[in-house]
Amino acid sequence: MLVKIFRFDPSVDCQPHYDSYSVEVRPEDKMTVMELLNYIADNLDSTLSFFSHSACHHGICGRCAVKCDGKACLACTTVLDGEDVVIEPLKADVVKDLVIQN
Amino acid sequence: MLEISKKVSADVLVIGGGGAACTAAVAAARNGASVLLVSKGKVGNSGNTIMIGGSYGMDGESAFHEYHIPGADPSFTKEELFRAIVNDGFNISDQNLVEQFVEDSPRIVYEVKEWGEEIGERFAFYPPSNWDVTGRSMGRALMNGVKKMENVTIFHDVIVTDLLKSGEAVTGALGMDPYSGQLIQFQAKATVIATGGFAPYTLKNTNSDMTGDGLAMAYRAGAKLADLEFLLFLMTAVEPRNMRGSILPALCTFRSKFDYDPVDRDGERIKVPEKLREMEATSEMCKLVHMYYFGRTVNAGKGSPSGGIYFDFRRFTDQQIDEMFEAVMDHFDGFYKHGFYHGESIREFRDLAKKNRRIEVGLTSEYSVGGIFIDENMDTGVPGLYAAGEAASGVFGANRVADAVTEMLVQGYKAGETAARRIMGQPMPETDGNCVAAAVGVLERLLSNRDGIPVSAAVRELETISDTALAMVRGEESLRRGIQSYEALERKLGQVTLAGKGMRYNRELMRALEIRNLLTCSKLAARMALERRESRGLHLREDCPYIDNENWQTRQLAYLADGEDQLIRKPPVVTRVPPRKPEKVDYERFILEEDLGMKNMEET
Ligand SMILES: Cc1cc2nc3c(=O)[nH]c(=O)nc-3n(C[C@H](O)[C@H](O)[C@H](O)COP(=O)(O)OP(=O)(O)OC[C@H]3O[C@@H](n4cnc5c(N)ncnc54)[C@H](O)[C@@H]3O)c2cc1C
Repeated sequence: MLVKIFRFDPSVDCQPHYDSYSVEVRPEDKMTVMELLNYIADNLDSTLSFFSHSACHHGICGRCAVKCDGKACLACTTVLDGEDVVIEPLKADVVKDLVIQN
Repeated sequence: MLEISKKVSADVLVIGGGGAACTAAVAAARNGASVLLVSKGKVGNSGNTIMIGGSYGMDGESAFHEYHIPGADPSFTKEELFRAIVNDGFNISDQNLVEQFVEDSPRIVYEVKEWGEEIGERFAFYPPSNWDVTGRSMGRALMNGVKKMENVTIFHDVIVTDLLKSGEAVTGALGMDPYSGQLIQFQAKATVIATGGFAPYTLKNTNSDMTGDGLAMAYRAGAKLADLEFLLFLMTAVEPRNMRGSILPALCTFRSKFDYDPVDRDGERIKVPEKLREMEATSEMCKLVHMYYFGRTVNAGKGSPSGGIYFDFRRFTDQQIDEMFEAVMDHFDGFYKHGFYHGESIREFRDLAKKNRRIEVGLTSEYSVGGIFIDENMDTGVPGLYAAGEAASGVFGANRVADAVTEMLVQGYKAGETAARRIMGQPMPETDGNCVAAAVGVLERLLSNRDGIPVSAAVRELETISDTALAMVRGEESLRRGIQSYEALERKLGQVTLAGKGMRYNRELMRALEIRNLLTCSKLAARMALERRESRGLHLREDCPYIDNENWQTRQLAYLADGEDQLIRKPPVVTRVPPRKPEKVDYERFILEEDLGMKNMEET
């Protein structure tokens, strides 16, 4: 599947842009958005930022929210269906990439 | 060059945002101190405090006589609680700390429950003297308590990277705001570490901030670390993959209506004595039983691909499986949306059980028994430095059966109280400028390193080493090899290289800082595990299947001397329960024959 991710570092970029990554995900894998982001950061682009400094991974803290195809969701409990996906920050006021101060 | 953007000072600095930190902040404020409460995550919404999946409590006598709680059972006496902690801890608890736990806990346990109930959080009582509660409710209750204090200043989302000193004394800490990348220097007359434990394995069931930051920082600042070889494993989901890391499998087994056959990778039943299997519904001691029997299966090469086992349901009909999971869902009703445990769907887990008749289950550490060495006043021995909660050590000896939640509350409160009382009337200390420069230098080096290994590779390597070296059942050879691998990784870590050099939410930088700390804890845990040539509590040695009460009825401490780790033994403090006869006892026989396990599980 193709994963399109919003990228923006306000301290250096004038404009946000999107990066695309191709990742093998089957619906039966039951991969979460959080796992996908970890996978991309560990294997494809380590500069990608998403909430991870105090993450519960089980829908408890509610802090890893992002937008998937325009819809707000928790990265840790949202399961990917193998279809292409666009991942964006929840709000416009971006710290970096998918991170907002919440 | 990085610069300090801000300096803040107060009487007491509390590092952490879970139960130990919140109660420390409240106690310090009540005793007249101004307080800085600095947490990596949000105060009241971080750490393992929000992961709580079960219950906690006090002794039954206090619940009945002092707090007049309907249904409390006074026959679960303070004396019984005390003895259970020492016995189940295989006799190496520092009993002065157990004394403090038992005597001081009722007051704060009760008060925190009141903070919660005041804002409508659910604390469900069950006899003898326990409450079921969710981590979120506990977090909100704590936050409500902290908000009542006027002189507590909260810093949410600030990562403390190192303690700062003047001479021998701790005088504050360096913090980094991950969002802005700004550095903050905290200045205080006393510092309390309440940063929780460490989780060294690939599979995690903890909050992501369990990287042993506080332990490693304290160690670098001159404190002693103790008992790190004792890690409490819990059955943890690995499938369905979206539930990976949930302790739902363990919680299922705690229901008496729930049943399964433990099988290995070949589908063969793993033999666990019936008497011990029954413990799953009656005692937390079952965690140790799982480690002992399933750890052996894994070492024999018969574990599942994730290093665990399988729950086999072939013996049960669909209807029976439905009934078992109905009992699990009933238990959580009122705490979570029906059919859920935290964010996880119990139905989805059930449906997988019905479909495949077999679910793979991993095992990984939920709690680190060891930590910073403290006395009964939570004093680390380093002037100005205190520690509390899971970050500290000493109450539970070699195995925890009593509640970690109670530990965090009672120790946090004590640490805050002691710290505030001791600094009254003292002037604000100065921090040594070289010490600040060194702490900032660590960050600068990480940002300027070139051509070393990437952070993610270092993390993976560390976790993989731990999976083998610090396995449920350990051995001389694997420990030796593990220590060598940790040392090799330590050398590589000096050059760990980040692709992103910015300061705004630099995940690589955060992880590089964490892994430095986690490596310190993991390596020392392996050193202690290698030294301890016996099996005791949560430390199991394949090559030493006996409890050696002649030579090892003792704690182990580590400290840094001229940059080298030094390990020493320290006999436990004994106040009431005498040590066991100095002899070797077969481990399996001991857990079969000894009356272990506290009588505080819920009737199911
Ligand atoms: C899944 C799970 C279920 C559990 N269920 C139970 C249960 O039912 N009953 C029970 O008794 N125990 C249970 N435990 C154990 C118990 O929850 C913990 O031992 C306890 O909450 C620890 O509290 P603490 O305040 O010491 O640390 P934590 O709650 O872990 O808090 C640590 C705090 O320190 C902060 N921190 C960490 N590093 C830094 C840093 N570098 N700078 C600044 N801040 C930092 C973190 O953000 C966090 O706020 C469970 C544990 C887990 C993992």
